Amino acid sequence: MQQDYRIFAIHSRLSSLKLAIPVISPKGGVGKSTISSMLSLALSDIGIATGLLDLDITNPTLHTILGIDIHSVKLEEIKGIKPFKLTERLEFMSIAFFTRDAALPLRGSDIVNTIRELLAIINWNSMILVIDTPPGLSDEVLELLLLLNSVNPHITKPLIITGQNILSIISTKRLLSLIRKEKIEPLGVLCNMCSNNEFIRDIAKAYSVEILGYIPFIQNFEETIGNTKAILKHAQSYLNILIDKILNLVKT
Amino acid sequence: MHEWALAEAIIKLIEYKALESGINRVNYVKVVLGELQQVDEEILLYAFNELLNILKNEKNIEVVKYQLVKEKAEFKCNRCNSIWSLNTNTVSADELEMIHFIPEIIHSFISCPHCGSHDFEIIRGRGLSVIVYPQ
Ligand SMILES: Nc1ncnc2c1ncn2[C@@H]1O[C@H](COP(=O)(O)OP(=O)(O)OP(=O)(O)O)[C@@H](O)[C@H]1O
Ligand SMILES: [Mg+2]
Ligand SMILES: [Zn+2]
Repeated sequence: MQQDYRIFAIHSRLSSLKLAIPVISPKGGVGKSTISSMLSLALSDIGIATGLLDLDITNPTLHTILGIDIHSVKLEEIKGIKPFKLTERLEFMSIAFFTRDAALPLRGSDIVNTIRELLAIINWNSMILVIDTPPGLSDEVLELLLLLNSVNPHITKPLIITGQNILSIISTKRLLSLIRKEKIEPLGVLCNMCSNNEFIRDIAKAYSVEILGYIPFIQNFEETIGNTKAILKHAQSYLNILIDKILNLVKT
Repeated sequence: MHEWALAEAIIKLIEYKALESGINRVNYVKVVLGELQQVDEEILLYAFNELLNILKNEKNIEVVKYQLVKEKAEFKCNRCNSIWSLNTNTVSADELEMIHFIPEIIHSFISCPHCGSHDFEIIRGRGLSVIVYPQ
């Protein structure tokens, strides 16, 4: 990896980050993209310079959730590429800006190249970076963890999302047992579309990870798509434990 | 254009390799410029030379010889195995600019001229690559 010159560019691009939060889940459709959006809107709203990166390379959706019209955005070039400024304190980047929202069918090595190229040219100005990822231990997740680890292992704290159904819980256990063998310190587990915290109490204990609360199933949630105010409101109702933990981490 | 950032990263790679091998005269550096990334050769060379001077003056690391090699892009279809090269008439200026930033994006914009598949490999000429031969 050290023969790749882009690694050095990535180091300087990410060196000012205080915290990188990959939002991951072994199972699909549990709410990673939704929660990445909620979290970054909430953090920027309380005054933290936040970056949000859609790393679901072959199927990005954050721009849709955030109501960004990809076709009307012209990326600005200042010492690399400036991320799109959604608000004063929220920067956003997605591969969809480059593909103009066309499908992008890629195999493993192409995904790795895409991620390295992307991270080597984006000129972030943020303190915290939230990264949405595709489900599973995909190329995207592995590459992201590899790169972040080489930049600074101490700033990387994955947020694990699970549902309350049996398959999701089993998958999360499997993921946690893997993470526990590596020297990765997760931020914690958040249960989405859950009726209470009980579903994750056992796994949190077994793998000594923190429970960061739960989000209930919200009726008509799809109506919030494209409406950042409504999404922020949900974040303010359900992400308090998570946000407090993050604030404590970056305070020092 | 991000040629300066590219040149900076290449210099850091050279420095890393020199330190790793415990030398301060790096024998040979080969820089390949693949067609898809459309790196501006002149700007890159200018930036590279400037930074090489700084590397020599500040870190006492010298590059004995370097070479820039241009490479045409070539694609191979995973479905029907046909091989073809880039036809700039089939991609718009806007698309070419996006490919300049991230060559893999070309998978959104072109497909195999024989069978239409988007499942192809960029076998040559992808973008910038650098090989450092310390000794
Ligand atoms: N708390 C919730 N209440 C109701 N609907 C929700 C909730 N959280 C997410 N959803 C809905 O569930 C669907 C899946 O969410 P989302 O796309 O965020 O999941 P994901 O984990 O990112 O999926 P993928 O694995 O495909 O990337 C979306 O339609 C979203 O609007
Ligand atoms: Mg998603
Ligand atoms: Zn073909």
